[in-house]
Amino acid sequence: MNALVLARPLLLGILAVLATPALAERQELARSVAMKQAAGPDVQRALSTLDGLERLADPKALAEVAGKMAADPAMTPAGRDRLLTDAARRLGSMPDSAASRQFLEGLAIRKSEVWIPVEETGGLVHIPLYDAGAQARHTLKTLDIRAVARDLTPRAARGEAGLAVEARAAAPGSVFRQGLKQALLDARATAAGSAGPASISHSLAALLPQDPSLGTLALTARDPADRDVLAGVLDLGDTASGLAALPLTRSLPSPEARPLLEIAARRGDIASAAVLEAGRRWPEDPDTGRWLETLLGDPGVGASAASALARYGDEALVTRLADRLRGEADERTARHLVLYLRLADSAQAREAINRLREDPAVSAAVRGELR
Amino acid sequence: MIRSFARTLILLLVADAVSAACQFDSRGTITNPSDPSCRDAMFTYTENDNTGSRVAIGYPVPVPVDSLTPVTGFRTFESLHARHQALDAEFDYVTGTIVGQTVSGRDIWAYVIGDPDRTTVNGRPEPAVMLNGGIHAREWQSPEAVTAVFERLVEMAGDGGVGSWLIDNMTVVILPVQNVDGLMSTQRYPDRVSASVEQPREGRMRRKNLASPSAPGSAIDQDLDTTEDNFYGVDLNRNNARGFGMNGGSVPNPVSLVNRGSAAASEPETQALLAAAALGPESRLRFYVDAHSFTQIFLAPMTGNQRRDAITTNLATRMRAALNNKYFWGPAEPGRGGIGTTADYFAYTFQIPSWTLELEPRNGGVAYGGTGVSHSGFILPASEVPRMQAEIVTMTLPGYYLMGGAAAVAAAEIRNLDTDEVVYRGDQAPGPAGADLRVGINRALVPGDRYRLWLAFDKPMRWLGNAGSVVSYPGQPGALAPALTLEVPGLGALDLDAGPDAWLTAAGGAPDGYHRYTADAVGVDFTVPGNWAPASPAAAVLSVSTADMTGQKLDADPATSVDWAGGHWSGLESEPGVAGDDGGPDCSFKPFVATDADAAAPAEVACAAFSTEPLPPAGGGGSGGGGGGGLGGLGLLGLSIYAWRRRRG
Ligand SMILES: [Zn+2]
Repeated sequence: MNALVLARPLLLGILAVLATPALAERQELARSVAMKQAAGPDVQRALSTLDGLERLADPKALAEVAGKMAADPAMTPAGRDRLLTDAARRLGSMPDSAASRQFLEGLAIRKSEVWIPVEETGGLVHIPLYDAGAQARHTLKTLDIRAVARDLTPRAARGEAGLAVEARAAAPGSVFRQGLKQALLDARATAAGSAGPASISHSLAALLPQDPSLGTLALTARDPADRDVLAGVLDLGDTASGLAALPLTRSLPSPEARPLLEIAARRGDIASAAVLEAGRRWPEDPDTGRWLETLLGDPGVGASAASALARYGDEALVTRLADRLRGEADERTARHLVLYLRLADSAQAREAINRLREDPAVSAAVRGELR
Repeated sequence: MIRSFARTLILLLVADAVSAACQFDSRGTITNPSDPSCRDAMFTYTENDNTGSRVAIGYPVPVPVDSLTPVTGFRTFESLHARHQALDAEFDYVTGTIVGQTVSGRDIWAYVIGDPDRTTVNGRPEPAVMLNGGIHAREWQSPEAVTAVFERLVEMAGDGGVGSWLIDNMTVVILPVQNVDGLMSTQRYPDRVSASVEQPREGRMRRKNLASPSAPGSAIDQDLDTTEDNFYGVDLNRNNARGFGMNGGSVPNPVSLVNRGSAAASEPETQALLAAAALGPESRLRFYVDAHSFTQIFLAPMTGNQRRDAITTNLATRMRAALNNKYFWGPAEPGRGGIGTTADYFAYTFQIPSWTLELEPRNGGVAYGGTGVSHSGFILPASEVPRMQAEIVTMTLPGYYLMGGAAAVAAAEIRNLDTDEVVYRGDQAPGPAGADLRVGINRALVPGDRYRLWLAFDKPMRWLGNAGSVVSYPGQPGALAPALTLEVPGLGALDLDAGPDAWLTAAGGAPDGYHRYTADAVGVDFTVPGNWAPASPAAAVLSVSTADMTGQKLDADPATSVDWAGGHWSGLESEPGVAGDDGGPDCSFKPFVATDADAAAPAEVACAAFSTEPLPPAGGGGSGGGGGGGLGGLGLLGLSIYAWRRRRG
């Protein structure tokens, strides 16, 4: 080890970092000038040093060296912004330690010294080129998440149902929930397999009626072959988890996927996405195609059904739906049939549009939309 | 010893790796785009993982979703397009048009929202406003914001109030995605970028179109392999005729982010924007906004046309106030001439309010708890999209409403509450250039008698809250209550006290229903003071000083209808014969007071409200709750009489 560097007290580095915001003036520099400053040989050397210390998995040394280098009066402001940002970023990939937390907490309130103009605003608005404070705050959060994950992974591997109850007590987006998510992933990655998380996924799914925001965790914990949890999330999970669950139906055969998509298509927030998901499989699955056709008059998802059917150019379908438009009495359905023909965007569909535009069997209002 | 040697070796290797990367010239343009260390550098955005070439942004990296309806996040271009097409097919007042093709041949669509007749309910050519989106590929917020305005206008179309008025009387041209190729290219790589973390280029962070400089008129492909793939293209927001190549805002270098292209409007996407403007048509355009991200500011060209610049500033003030000034105001130096942006083009060519709307955030993804890594401001978290959309809609609506033009009075009726007899009835009969005042009934108002005034405007004057009652539109000035005075020279001035509830929200016309749109008419009961006992019939004037829901005063002379010409309002008077951009009170309706109900109307008198002196504060409900008592009313009455006497003297 480089004894000369590491012998310096850690405190020195922290003080140097803390001193920076108070002393530094905010500077507005052209991007090129700032980036040149931030890429000077001294900065390159500093980054190389930090990289080496990260490889040595020595957060204490990294924090101290970064603090010392930042305090070097020869360092440019942009270089200082960059190397402190880089140090904060690297500490997130290294073992947790009191030294790194102390360093990061000092850095977390730091304001960037060098601000650059945003291209679009012609010099009117400046933003930091590097934001060590924001990076430090984020790294502290990831260290917290990892600490929670470390604690919870054995419990997740054992399939403790209590974890679902604890998750419900924690807020969506909380460190606990993010740590649990990581623990479930880590547990599933172990040789023991997914039995523990899979069992937790059922506990989480059972709580969805009370807390839809548990859907994402339920999906994370779920055994990929488990259809029930998927159905539960598609029915009762929040919008984000419902949307995330839709593509997971792709691994199921159509007769199993369709009932799940029908459940999702009854929910306003993800109905359109569910219908478009069904559109991915209808050419191979005539039943799905027939279902989509029955939705064309639906006020909520009729347009989505038209769009889903138009995904694949299918000549037989163009013919059938163009015929249906001729005799369609319901105006909403007729307008969605028009939408289908417009989105199908094939020579055959365009021919049908041109023909039906002159057809008195189609109402004048609907003919007006045949463009 | 071994460990120390290993570390030295590592440091040497890393030092080499760090120094080879993209290099930048003094304009910030990459100078070594074909160097493999720059051309082939690839990074992946993640939520929390910073290892290797991964770059944590600190929140989930959004992935576009297939959904026609809005989701908590970003829709794919294909489903946004299907959504626009669906709204077109479903509603007669939405009309889509292909306005051009991208450099790779994809259709570019624009949509007109407004009833097909293109004339106002008064039979005049409609004013047009225009909203452009998706000119810069990586600014995913823009098409979502623009589509949200589109969706909201459609949703409001049947509301009977402001929404119906907009559909009937205005033409809104929306081009949701101008740079279709670019947006699709960025959506293909939702988490990958090339070149450099500090100035990422292709993949998620493409800005420009796909123009290939090696073969004019042809497109580069959407791979991330070659120098062309990773750096070339034209900045469509530097390719426009006004300010093209000027003021240091662009460079003629295909690698540059602000590459202006070979000539003004050289790019097919730019030509498509011009074709979309023709849907207005251009001669009817009054307002243009180009939606971008980020930095949370209105970047407004100032053309040096002082009236146009002042109107633009006022419009921005009203719109920004709707979000409590969350958005900053960035006017350019007047007459600077522009840098070839679309906002420059519309501002200078048509002398209309026009700006670049840079959506949130102000500084970067740090606003959402992110790492603040460079360019994260272009990545709005999916969870923030619905809020962002709602805010942009809230900010946009008063702008369109205001640029629809100042309101004018449309009709008045005064009815004796005891006999139900109509004693006054007049209206402003619309004609092609202005209105003709028609007075059908004008019988005496008798002192001591109770009356109901019904007064209608040609525009909804107030916003309705969710509960269906009149509320202030967020951030807009002025009293909710109408400001009405019956001036009778020689006798006094009677403020017709009414609270916000005087605005009529039920159908039916006079005396208790609105005219055409909810809250476009007021109904106010009043008693002519018993001590007003003129020896001979006394001419009166109904002076109307109420402003609309954005604080815009009335067109004081409806005989010349409000329009836009030469960079300012035309036909907008502060009093008859005094044109300007502010508006004023209306004094069209002139009843009279007499003790004999059958007395003949006397000669008309001038209106005290028309004066070069400042008007007294608007009467009626200030902030403190309207129907307050006689004392306040008496005070106002006294003040009005005093003011009128002073002016007369
Ligand atoms: Zn932009």
